[in-house]
Parts: sequence; structure tokens; C-alpha cells
Amino acid sequence: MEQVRYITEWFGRYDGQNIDDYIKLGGFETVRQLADRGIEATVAIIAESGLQGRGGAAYPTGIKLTQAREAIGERKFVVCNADEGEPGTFKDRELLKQNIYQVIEGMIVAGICSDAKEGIIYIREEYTWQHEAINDAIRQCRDRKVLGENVLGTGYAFDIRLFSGAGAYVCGEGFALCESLEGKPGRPRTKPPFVKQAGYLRLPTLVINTETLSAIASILRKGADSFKAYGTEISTGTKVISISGKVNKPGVYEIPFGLTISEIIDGFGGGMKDGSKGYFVQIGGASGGLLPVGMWNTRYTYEGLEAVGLSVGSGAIVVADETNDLRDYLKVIGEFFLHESCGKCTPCREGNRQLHFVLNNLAAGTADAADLKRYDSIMNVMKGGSLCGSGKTEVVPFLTARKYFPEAFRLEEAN
Amino acid sequence: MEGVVQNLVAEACAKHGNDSSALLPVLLELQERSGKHYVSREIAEEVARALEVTPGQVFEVVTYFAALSDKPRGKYLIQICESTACSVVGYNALLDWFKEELGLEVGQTDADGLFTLATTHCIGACDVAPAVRINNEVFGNLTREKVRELISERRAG
Ligand SMILES: Cc1cc2nc3c(=O)[nH]c(=O)nc-3n(C[C@H](O)[C@H](O)[C@H](O)COP(=O)(O)O)c2cc1C
Ligand code: SF4
Ligand code: FES
Repeated sequence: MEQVRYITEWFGRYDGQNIDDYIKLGGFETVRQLADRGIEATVAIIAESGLQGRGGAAYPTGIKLTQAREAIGERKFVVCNADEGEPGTFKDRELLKQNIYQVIEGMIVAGICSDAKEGIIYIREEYTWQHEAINDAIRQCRDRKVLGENVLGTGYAFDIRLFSGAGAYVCGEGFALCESLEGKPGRPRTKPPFVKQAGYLRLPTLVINTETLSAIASILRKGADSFKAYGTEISTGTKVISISGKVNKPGVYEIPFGLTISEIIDGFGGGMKDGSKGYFVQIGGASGGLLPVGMWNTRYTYEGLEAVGLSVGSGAIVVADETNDLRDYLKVIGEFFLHESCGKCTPCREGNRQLHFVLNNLAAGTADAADLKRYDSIMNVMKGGSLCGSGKTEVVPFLTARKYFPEAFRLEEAN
Repeated sequence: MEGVVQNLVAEACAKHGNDSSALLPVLLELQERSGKHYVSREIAEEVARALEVTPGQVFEVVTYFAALSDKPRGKYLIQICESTACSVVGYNALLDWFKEELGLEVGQTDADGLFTLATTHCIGACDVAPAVRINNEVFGNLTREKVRELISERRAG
């Protein structure tokens, strides 16, 4: 199957680093257009496109930009969320590597539209190998007056700096991210107020995913209708996905919404690894749901996944085959969250500790009925009582596992 | 000796802005420059002074974040991914190869202070899983032979 080249249109068209090549392709035109078109008309195009945030929460980007504009503060910030912490996800890595200037273009537009003059690219520490290239790109932007006091002669001011996380998954969450920007351990704050009103330094902060920013630039370049030509009515446009696990061609692919999971695995992932038989996929990261091979005719759309208790999440698709053991896999997920829980709230902190024992027993084949009861009640408590999205969504893989994989929860006779 | 620490810290602080928002970048840079992937007590205290935050805040940050450490580690920090994608394609075998080739268990550093063996969560290299990170480089699609090479190249210096 052919990839769509919408957001990734300029991948491979230049080396991803030379700003003049990017400008020759038509780069930063949307910033100039913005000056003519006006902010309201610009945000209206994004709203009309139906673009939803690609960081996991799927919040409509048009509304988000409008709200960011309404927020009041003496300084305002745009943060490009390049924390990409969900296991199985590596698409922002490619958006940064192959077309950093488009991310920057999206940031400038978001900054002007929300009246923010300061931008921060918050990148995960695991991508330290990319820092130099990104800093170099920022420098080239300043040299060409794409960033600075008078962006491309439009009269708007906007500048960007790069900030590295330090290896905490929860720092992808807006408040935790802001805390770490302030030099504190990255733990979420209670809401309200929200990040958009009182984020970094308690000032209005627009936290927006790398892919969402890239999409903003593409949509403004090509028009809302061109985006809506892909996908479904609810899930408009394209999605940049990361396929990994037991497939022949793991990688980053841009696809239209609406394909089935099987079509994605066969058409882009190159089919199951060496012809092995599929068992399950996990969609959307470690906090994403699990889907058995019998349900791979599910459509990859926001609505299609929601109908079966899953979501698009980070855009990750991890594929497992029959040689993989779901119990082992659940243990891996549990260990991830045990490690990454920031410990601020009891349901998530204690829930993960207890879950750890249950998952160990399950994997060892020594689980009994009481373990399963505990499993279910931990899920209830975490889902309802966790402070941030981490604890709240961590239950998704465990609940979908329980629902769709009864075989993994069958107890040995002796227990 | 004290002057050296002061200068080092002052330099890093000047580069990243002299306020508490510079704490993370300053610590990451100083850890990198330590050559042993850690932030010593001395450095931590000097950073607290320079950025006018409490030593408690600095220690809390160093212990909270997985990338920061208050204990010295090897010149080469070997981190094997144990997350989802790597787990389905056999991260266990990769871990065993490193354990055997290095003669280390997870969390240990060799006597020469050359290698530390550790595990990590997803490093965003799932397309080449099972993946490993050595300092700031990422390697994937590994075989036992390649693991041997990675280690011996570094042993040779
Ligand atoms: C625990 C946790 C981790 C998150 N990690 C990320 C991340 O790595 N990258 C990201 O873009 N969003 C992440 N998010 C979502 C962000 O909080 C936020 O919703 C998103 O960046 C907004 O951008 P969008 O509107 O473009 O989706 C995370 C949320 C939670 C609760
Ligand atoms: S849900 Fe977990 S990660 Fe979120 S605040 Fe509570 S303990 Fe921290
Ligand atoms: S799961 Fe190992 S690199 Fe992503």
C-alpha cells in the first residue's frame, strides 16, 4: 500500500537540516500568509479541517488555539511536546529528524495565533542524539529572521529554545512538563486552573504535540478540504503511526484514517514477521488497549477504536504473534507503570505496587481467584481515583486484556 | 579543587540561564561532563548555591529523574530497553548476551569503571528492536556478534 504524503510530504525532499532548501520548497509561506489572512481566519481553517490533537487526548486543535488566544498573561508560551514517552512510539522522532522546520513553522503559527512570543521544544532525554541538529536548526532560523523580534518581517515576535527532559514518562503530561521546566520533579498538579491558563511559571502555556504542529503547517499550506479528503467524517485526515514488534517492516508510516488493523499490518508493516500468526496488537502506547487477532478488522479511527474500548493514543501499534505470551506482556506494561508512577496520588502509587504482585503471579502461573479479584478492584480504584491521565489510562490495557483474552486469566487447576 | 567545581558550575549556569528553570539542563550538562554519568554531592551543592535553590530541591530532582544519578556509573552506560516492542522481539536474549559478555548483572559497574549495565524504558528505537542505548548512541537489530563488537570496540578505547 502506498503511504500518504500529506504531513510527511517533504520527507526526503531535502536533508532536513538546510533551511534554504526548506524555504525553496515553500517553507514558512504559511507564516507570511498568516500576516495577510489574519489570526481568526487562520484558526478557522484549522478548526474546519477537524484536526484533533495527536498527543493522545484528541482535543480539537482549532478550539485549543482559540482558548489559548483567550488566556490572559503577561507572558505566554507555546510548548512543542516532543517527549514521546509512550513505549512503541517513534514518529515524532522522524518528524523532528526529517523535517524540523515544519515543526518550527507550526510553532510559529501557533505562537502568533495564541499571542505567545516564547516557544519551547520539550524533547525527551532519550533523544539527546538529536539535540545538536535541532539547536542548529533554531540557529539557522534566527539567522534568516524566521525567528526573532520581527518574524519574516510580519511584525510578530517569536523565538524558540530547546529543553530536554530527564527520563520521566509522566513529564509528557502538561503540568508535570511545566514543573520540570521550572526545575522541579515533574509531577502533575491538580486542576483547575489548567495548563492553558496557568502552566509554565503559572503563565498561560499551550502544550501541543509535535505531529499536531506539523499538521497545522501542512493544512494551512494545502487547505482544510485537502485534509478532509482523507479519513472519515469524525477522524479527518491522516495519522503518522509507528509500527513495531513482530512485523516484517517496522517503521513510521503516514496513513489515512479508516483502514483496518489487518490492512495496516499487511499494507505497511509488511505483514507478520516471517509469516508468523498474529496474536494481539497494542494500540496507542503502554497505556493503549489490546486487541486480539480476531478483531483486527476494527477500523483505525477515533470512533472505530472507541467502540471497542481503545483509542488512537500516541499512534503506536505494537504487534505480537503466537509465540508471545500475553501474561508476560502485561507484566512488562505493569513494570513500566510501576517505575513511571510519580507517586503523588495513592490510587496510582499503591495500585501499581499491588498490581505488580498480581501480574507476577499471573505470569508465573500461580495466580488464584483472589488475585483476579484484586486485579479487578485495582482497576476500579485507579480508573476513578487517579490524579492524572497516567493512572487513569493505565487501566486500558489491563481492562481490554481481561475482556478480550479470557485464556490469559484462566487459573491453573491447582490454584 | 573547590575552585574547579565552582567554575564548572558557573559556566553551565551561565549557559542555561541563572535561575531555577535552568536546573535540569545544568544538571544534565554537568552529569555529561562528569564522565561517570552522575552528579556528585559537591556539584549538587554548588548548583544549589549558584541557582539559589535549596540543596534539597537539587537532590530531589536528581533522584526523581531516571536520567540523573547521584552515584557514579561507568564511562559507558549501557541501557537495554525492556519496554513493550522490545519485549515481543526478544529483549531477554539481548540482555543475556550483554550480561555474559560483560560478566555483569543489571545495575552493576565493572571494576575498571568502564561499563555499567542497566535496563531502561522505551528509547524510541522500536523499529530496530531489540534496542540498546550506549551513552547517547542507539543501536538496534542486534545479534550476539554485534554485541561483542560493541563491547570490544569500547574496551579498545
Ligand atoms: C502521563 C502522560 C504522558 C503524556 N505523554 C505525552 C507525550 O509524550 N507527548 C505528547 O504529545 N503528549 C503527551 N501527553 C498528552 C499531553 O498531556 C497533551 O495532552 C498533549 O501534548 C497535547 O497536545 P495535542 O493537543 O497536540 O494532542 C501525555 C499525557 C499524559 C497524561
Ligand atoms: S496518577 Fe500516577 S503519575 Fe499521575 S499523579 Fe497520580 S501517581 Fe502521579
Ligand atoms: S520498546 Fe524498546 S525502543 Fe521502544
